[in-house]
Amino acid sequence: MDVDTRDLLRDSIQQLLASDGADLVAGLAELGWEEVVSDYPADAVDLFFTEQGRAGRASTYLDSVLLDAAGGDLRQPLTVIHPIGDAMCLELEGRMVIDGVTLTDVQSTRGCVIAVDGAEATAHLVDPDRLAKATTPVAGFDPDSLLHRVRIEVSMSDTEPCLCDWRGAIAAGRRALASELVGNGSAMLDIAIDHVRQRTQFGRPIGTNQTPRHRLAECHVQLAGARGLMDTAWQSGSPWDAWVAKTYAGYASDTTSRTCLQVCGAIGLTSEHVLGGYAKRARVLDALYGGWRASVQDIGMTLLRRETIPAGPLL
Amino acid sequence: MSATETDRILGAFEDALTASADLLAGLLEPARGLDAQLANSRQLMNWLFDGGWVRWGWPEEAGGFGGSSITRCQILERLALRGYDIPHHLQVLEVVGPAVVNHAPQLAATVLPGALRGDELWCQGFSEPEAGSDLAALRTRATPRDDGGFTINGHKIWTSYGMHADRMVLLARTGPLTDRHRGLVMLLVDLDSPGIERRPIALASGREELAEFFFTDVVVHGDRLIGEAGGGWSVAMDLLQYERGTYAWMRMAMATNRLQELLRQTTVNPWAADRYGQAGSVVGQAYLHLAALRARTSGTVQRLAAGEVVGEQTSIDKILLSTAEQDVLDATEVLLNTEMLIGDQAGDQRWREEWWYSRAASIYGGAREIQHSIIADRVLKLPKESTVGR
Repeated sequence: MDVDTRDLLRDSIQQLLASDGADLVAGLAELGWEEVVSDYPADAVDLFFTEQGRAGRASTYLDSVLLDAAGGDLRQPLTVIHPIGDAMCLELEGRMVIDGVTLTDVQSTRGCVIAVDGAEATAHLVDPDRLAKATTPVAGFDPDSLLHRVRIEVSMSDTEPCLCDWRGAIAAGRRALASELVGNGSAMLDIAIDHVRQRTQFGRPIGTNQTPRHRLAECHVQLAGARGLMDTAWQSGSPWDAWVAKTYAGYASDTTSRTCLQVCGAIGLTSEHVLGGYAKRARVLDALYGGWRASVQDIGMTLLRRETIPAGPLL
Repeated sequence: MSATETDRILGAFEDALTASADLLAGLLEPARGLDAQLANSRQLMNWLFDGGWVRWGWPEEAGGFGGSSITRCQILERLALRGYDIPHHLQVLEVVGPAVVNHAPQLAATVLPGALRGDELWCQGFSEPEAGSDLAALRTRATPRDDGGFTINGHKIWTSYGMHADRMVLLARTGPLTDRHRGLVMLLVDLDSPGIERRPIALASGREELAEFFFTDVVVHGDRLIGEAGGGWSVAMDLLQYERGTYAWMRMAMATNRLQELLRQTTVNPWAADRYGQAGSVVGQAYLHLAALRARTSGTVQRLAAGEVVGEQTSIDKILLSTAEQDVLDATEVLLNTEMLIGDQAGDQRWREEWWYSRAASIYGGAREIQHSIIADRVLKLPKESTVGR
């Protein structure tokens, strides 16, 4: 995507994200998004999620990203049940033990897509009516993420297995989440930079003190590292690169959230300040498809087993 | 150069490495002491130069093949991932060599081929007792002579490979100290010249990694000038870019190889759940920082190869480099803990030496604090740091 197209598209996305309460996915459709994505499959999705992160908004677009990548027998629109933190779906003695979140109320959907933990080439379709009673809206740490939790066991025979590239779907989801985390983190960093420039104590802006300056610089370093890994992941399309990028983005986001909450002082912890909303959203984004702490360990243990560091892309 | 041509060269390089496996077998064993390590380094330099592998990206006049330094970068990464240490000689040359080519092409034609073949070892003479992070405070004087040369008097310190080096790229002052970064000059100095004394400095590991130099009326000919007299600072700034480019890339490749060695050497096993989890965490963290570094640095080496000027953004690369190197060497403490601590094999000693050297990664070439300040000032545009106390 050339710079002009990118700027133009970013403006449209930002306008859409600035509109109060609008259905973002419907808004994207009006923008002719399908065509944009078919022209620039990686750049467009990256740009949207980065901007969604920067705006601190939530949407159901992640579902389409996963389903597009999954392909196969899955026909959109469908609602995905996403793993978050320790909540995931497992297959146990002929039963599907479901625990996860959706980005929309299942009652309004045509079908729900569930993949058991570790699934690579199969996802399961379940009739939303079977799940409706087991679904509750989530307030939780970040009510604005508008999640719904689904917790129920169903017989495997009540699910319809669909062949698809679920490994690719998770990779696509992780890339989108990484972009959103970095967008979210750069928004937090901008807020904190503004604050330390303006907030005066002991007769000078607190941003003239070395500690906040260096801590904020470190956030920039980590977010730039995450950005670099995301570029690699978007280019290669590999599940490993997506996992690494999302994990590093979660780590960078955690550093950034800690730092910004510190330098903004008491006001940054209140509901009157915008920072808290970003910090809350960042927690949710990190926990979807594996939080960074657990992922760092998993990545390390995978490397210990393989005894090889995967080669990076050619220059 | 097309991608397929690069692929062909990389493939040929891997084949050549395999064909020379017996010849180079000794280089895969850790050598004890810097003398032995530099002898290995020289052997590998000869092999790399005679095979043409490290000549890509250097101009033909200076002993190279022309083409892109990107090809060379990728060859060096392959070399490291096959378990060979990238030669010490290159860790100096890849930083100072491009500056000599850019600012003194004639001098490059005379001296670079021998250096690239590993027949001589170079070092950098920038830091001084009173000029560490604040390089513009350097005091070593270069007094212009009537014959166009300079007479050097002063004191340089923290010089890597200093006790073994044949030549030094030296930054000295022609004007008064108050001129700061104006009035500097960059020179290539033969270290066997009369008037030079040197003393080794051992790191806490015991390895005589560094040296200090005392210059008394040392005469340097005018044809050893790199850039212009008075223009030494801009040569130094140009040179620093390559420290963030090819040099950082080489360090990344070597640290990646070290992490790979750790994975193969460790005896931690999956049945020891606690230890394995802990090992997983440190390996994962080191790998993530290496991957982030590679992603950043690959952009920087490509921009440099395209002739772009890379600026303050490379402070990010520098911080990621020191973090990654320190994470990798810290992982030795978890993965090889007993041998790292009390083992006395050459390999154990090497891990310890590299652990100490990784601490230097956030000090040399502009300390981590300097990099954070550069980002705070020039990238984030934060208000300037206050110099008065509370």
